[in-house]
Amino acid sequence: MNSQILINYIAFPLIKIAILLAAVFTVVAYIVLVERRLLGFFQSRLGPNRVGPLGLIQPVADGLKLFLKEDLIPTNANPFIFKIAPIFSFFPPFVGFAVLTFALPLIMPSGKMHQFAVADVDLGILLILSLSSLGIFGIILAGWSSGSKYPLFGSLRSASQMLAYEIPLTLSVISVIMMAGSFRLSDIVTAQQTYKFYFIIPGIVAFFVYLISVVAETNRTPFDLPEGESEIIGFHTEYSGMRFAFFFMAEYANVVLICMLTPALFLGGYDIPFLNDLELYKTHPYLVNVLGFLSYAAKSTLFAYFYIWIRATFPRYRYDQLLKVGWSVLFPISLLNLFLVALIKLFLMK
Amino acid sequence: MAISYIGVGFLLIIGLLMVPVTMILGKFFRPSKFEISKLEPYECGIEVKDSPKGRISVHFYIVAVVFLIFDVETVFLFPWAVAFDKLGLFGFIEVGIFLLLLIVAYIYAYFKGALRWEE
Repeated sequence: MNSQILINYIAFPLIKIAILLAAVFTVVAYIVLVERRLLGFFQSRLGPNRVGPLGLIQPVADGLKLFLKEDLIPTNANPFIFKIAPIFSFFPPFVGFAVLTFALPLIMPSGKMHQFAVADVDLGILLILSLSSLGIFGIILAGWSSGSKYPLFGSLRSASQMLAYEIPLTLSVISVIMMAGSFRLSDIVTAQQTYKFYFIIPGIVAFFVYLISVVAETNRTPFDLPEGESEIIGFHTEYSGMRFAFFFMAEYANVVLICMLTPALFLGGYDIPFLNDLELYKTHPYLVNVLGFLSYAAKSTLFAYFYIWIRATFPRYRYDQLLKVGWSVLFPISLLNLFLVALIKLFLMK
Repeated sequence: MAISYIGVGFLLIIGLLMVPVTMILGKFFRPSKFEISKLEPYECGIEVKDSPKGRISVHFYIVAVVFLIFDVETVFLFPWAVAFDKLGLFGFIEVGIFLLLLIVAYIYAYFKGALRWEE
């Protein structure tokens, strides 16, 4: 009995975490390469293609270079807070991956069911939202502890940007939660499978508000004022070497997390388009598992491409415009849309 | 069930330890050559004069306060959204009244200029 508990609650989660982290780190490393190469193609150049075939070893080389850089802590900085700030930025997206479900449960020959998730918890989406708010602490602490003017201003700008876009984001996610009636991510996908339409159809406005807000929340172009590589000086100006790499990885981990969350909320997640999954699952469970996982991966890749595409297309917003869009356009729209979705749910989705 | 959060807990511990462990491991490999000019704060080529802990535009505080109000509002909306099927029309009207009060607050803040940046 005791060994059974040990296997079910300690060993299985740890094995799943090992697989998940290996996959996530690979994807995070390679989305950087894919982004650089795609941006190259968008601008009629090749992008990094020298290190290994097609430049495939480039992320390893970059990581190794940053790992071997000297660790500098400026004299003006508050060393303790300066050191813990990357931790606050780094861990939230990685913990968020725990609640994602990648396919319908695997049915073992013995009749046991195994979830394709590290922890398919009942408050999944709430956990991701609250963790993503924790990311602000990393930015504020980094800017404040650097002991330099520009990082401080950068972190303040960045924090008020994230605050402005968090409310539209939360409101549009609430409209999805309302349609599904659950916080659990696998329940949200199952609801879309039983309704036989994706939540993007009744929640089209919520979808676009969500899309704009997550781009702002993850600090990407056209809302990349926190970083602004070329002109504006951002919150991690004083960071170098591996500590900078953690901020960098956190940003891309956030992007990957959002790319995997968006299909689950609005596009049916691991649902296979044009097929009745739940019927087919009764007769061919393994086939549905594999196809569902592939369809989820395809939808996520689409969003990853979309992210890079908008980076190559749009110029950066000015700061007052950015807050104006957040507070006086997206916030009222998302609030009105919540009423609209409530009415649809009340009268049309029975 | 609360026990299913165990995986989240493991991942949290791993995530928190990843940064310190990597930094400590890196100590054995990275160079460390002291040079006072390396440790100066960033400035565009001139020497740093004033302290960074100066005054900050009051707009940041106002925006933070407004955010606090509306973020608490979204917290109230979560339980309503999850129990929407059970509450039905009654819950819809009640939350409608609640949101209406907040929309009045939003309109007030908007015309007071709390959310405007250009002067």
